[in-house]
Amino acid sequence: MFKREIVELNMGPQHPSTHGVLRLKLKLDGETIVDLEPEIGYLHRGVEKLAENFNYLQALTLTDRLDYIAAVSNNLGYIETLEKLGGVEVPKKAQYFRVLLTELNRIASHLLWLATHALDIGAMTVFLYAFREREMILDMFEMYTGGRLLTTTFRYGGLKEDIPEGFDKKVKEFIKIFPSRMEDYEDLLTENRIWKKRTINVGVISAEDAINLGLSGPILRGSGVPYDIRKVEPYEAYGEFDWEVAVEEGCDTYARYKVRLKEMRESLKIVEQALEGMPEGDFRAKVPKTLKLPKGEVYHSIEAPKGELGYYLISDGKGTGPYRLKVRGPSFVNLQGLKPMCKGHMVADVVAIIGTLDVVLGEIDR
Amino acid sequence: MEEGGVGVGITQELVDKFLITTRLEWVFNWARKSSVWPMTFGLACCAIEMMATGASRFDMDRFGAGIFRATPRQSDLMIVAGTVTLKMAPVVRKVYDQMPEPKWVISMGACANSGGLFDSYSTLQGVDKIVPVDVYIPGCPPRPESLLYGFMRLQDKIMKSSLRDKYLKEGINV
Amino acid sequence: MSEELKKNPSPEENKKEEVKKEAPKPEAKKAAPAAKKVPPKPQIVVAPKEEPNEDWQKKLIGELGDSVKEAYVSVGEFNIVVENNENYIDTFKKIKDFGFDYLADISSVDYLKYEGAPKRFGLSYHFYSVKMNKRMRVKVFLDDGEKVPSVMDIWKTADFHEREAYDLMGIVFTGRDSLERILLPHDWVGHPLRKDADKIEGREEYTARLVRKLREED
Repeated sequence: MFKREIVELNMGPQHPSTHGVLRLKLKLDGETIVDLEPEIGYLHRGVEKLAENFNYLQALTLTDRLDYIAAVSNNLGYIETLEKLGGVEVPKKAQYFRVLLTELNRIASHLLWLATHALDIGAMTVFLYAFREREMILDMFEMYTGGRLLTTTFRYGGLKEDIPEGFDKKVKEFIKIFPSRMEDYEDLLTENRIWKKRTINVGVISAEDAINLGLSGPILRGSGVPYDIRKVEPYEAYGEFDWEVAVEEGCDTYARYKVRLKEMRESLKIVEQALEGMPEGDFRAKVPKTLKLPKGEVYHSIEAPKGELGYYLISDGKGTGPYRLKVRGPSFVNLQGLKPMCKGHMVADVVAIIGTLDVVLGEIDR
Repeated sequence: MEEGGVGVGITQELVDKFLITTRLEWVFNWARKSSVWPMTFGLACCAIEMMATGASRFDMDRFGAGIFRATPRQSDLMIVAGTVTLKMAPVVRKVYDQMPEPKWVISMGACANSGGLFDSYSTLQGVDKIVPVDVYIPGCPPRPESLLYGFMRLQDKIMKSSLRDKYLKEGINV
Repeated sequence: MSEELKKNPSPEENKKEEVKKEAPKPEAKKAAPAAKKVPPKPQIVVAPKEEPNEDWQKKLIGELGDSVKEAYVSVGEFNIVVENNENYIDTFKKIKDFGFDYLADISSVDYLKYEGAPKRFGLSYHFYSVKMNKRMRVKVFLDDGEKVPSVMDIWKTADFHEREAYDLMGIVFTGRDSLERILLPHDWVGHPLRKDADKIEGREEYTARLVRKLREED
């Protein structure tokens, strides 16, 4: 008869579905996963060390390159950390515009997630559709910052410049088009039999385990925990908008898919409200040209598209740069969920589960 | 070669109407440049722009290079898109070694060119330290248009490559 | 490692150079006002520390008892300083039972050039309570080479954070299974985030070794 044995399989770092340079060491019994060990660090660029050698503004460019799909969120988290330690009040207009850009970025990030997640599972069309809409958002970023992907958007105390003319027109156009495009994606996937078979009951994690593992973002909300920092500890102007936290009880890949789709809709709602209610006034508070922060330490976290993005900043009060900057990347922590989620599943499901975790290696390895 | 050289049984009329004479080398190069299959080898931020280049708006397929292969064994072109760290460097080299000849390398973005922003302890300062690079594309990250332009420069380079030189290099007398 | 510690003066010099390098930047644009600004040496502003006065904070301090060495609120954040002793794990268990079920982050810090730190290294644990919607930070100071118990049994999420602290800062955790490098190559020497390490320390040697190895394979 057949002899059973455990086979070790190496997946990555060069693999089309590991979203970068993630490497997994799988232990297989037939096609079933017995054990799994992620090996990371293939994109460790020493961001934290470089930040100590840079000044505060220069270090902002490093944060772009952490989660390069959601550079605006990363900028926002970092700048808010500085502002929290410096005690600066940001003008209302800047707050609204920050929210607007960050939410657009959330949509762009989720679109890229949808594109690659669907591509991994085998739906090519969604990839092309989602990239089409993403380009619209990138055009807006380009209009304001000059960059498509790595934007270095905000500055200490507000915005780097006023909102350009014609920007609102572009946003309005997007708001008009996007809901119908969302329906297109849903038509392709939500009730699709293959999609459902590949995602329902795949990568299940309970709320208790998810909290213990420190998972955050759509993964935690897909397990029924309504933890969204925008709601529980509102920063910027989030408290002034009418929107809901997307929560699903399914705990599986399908539930997380629904959470993210709903989040895109909610983000669009926030974008619409922020654009309509955009106040007049200054776009930047009065701040000194050379930034110096008081001696002290601060941890500030925001809700990035991937989850809780935290910055731990220590300033020694002397230099013009951070004494220590630690980044709590959501993907780094979320990756720990891979092992419990994958156990007992087939090899093909690993691809679906990596997709649902929505990891970005720039943030994991830093 | 284009002038004269018409063989027995082929009239001048036939040549004018149906035949194109050219160099074998040109045909080889033309075929190669028109279907360069790149490998999906995203390392960092630039990979997202590489994906955008392959997707709907920029559509790299127009240049015959839209078929991103998942394995080095089926690809002709390695686009090193992103920071190469010291931990990743041996992998990059191994993947390059697994590609069949003829093969080309595009170094995309400041990090792959020279280390770029990341002048730190763990990054390789330029991918050309471990693999030969044909085209360098500046930018952090380069726009999809830049990648397309760089790709067209690579096509120019392919058109200029010579079979004779290649065989001479390998010591085969032509 | 102690030898490296004795080499303190050289990093200090580096720092002075850095300051000099940074100073001319504003001068280049506005030479006169910048020169005026320099003479009165800028006072170091310190973020003020306040007494914790919220009920839950007082209650938590009461429950932890002697383990708390210091407790304060700074920049709106509640801090507790604990000591690395036999009650260490117990303290964290109590913190979890109190409601801080979400360990957001463990950060390692090298206080070599930081004034006023009692010991060289430090760990900062950032907690969040999903039920209470509160945040807090637990700090512990460590000497060079001092081992610290792992909290992986209490929060599984500590796994990657502790491995990272070991990899980049060289802090050793006990009471957990495997403590190996996570981000850097396994044959890397040294811990780059320490303040006495240069930002490119070890890179050239490693690159040379790597290129040599690849040449040999050809």
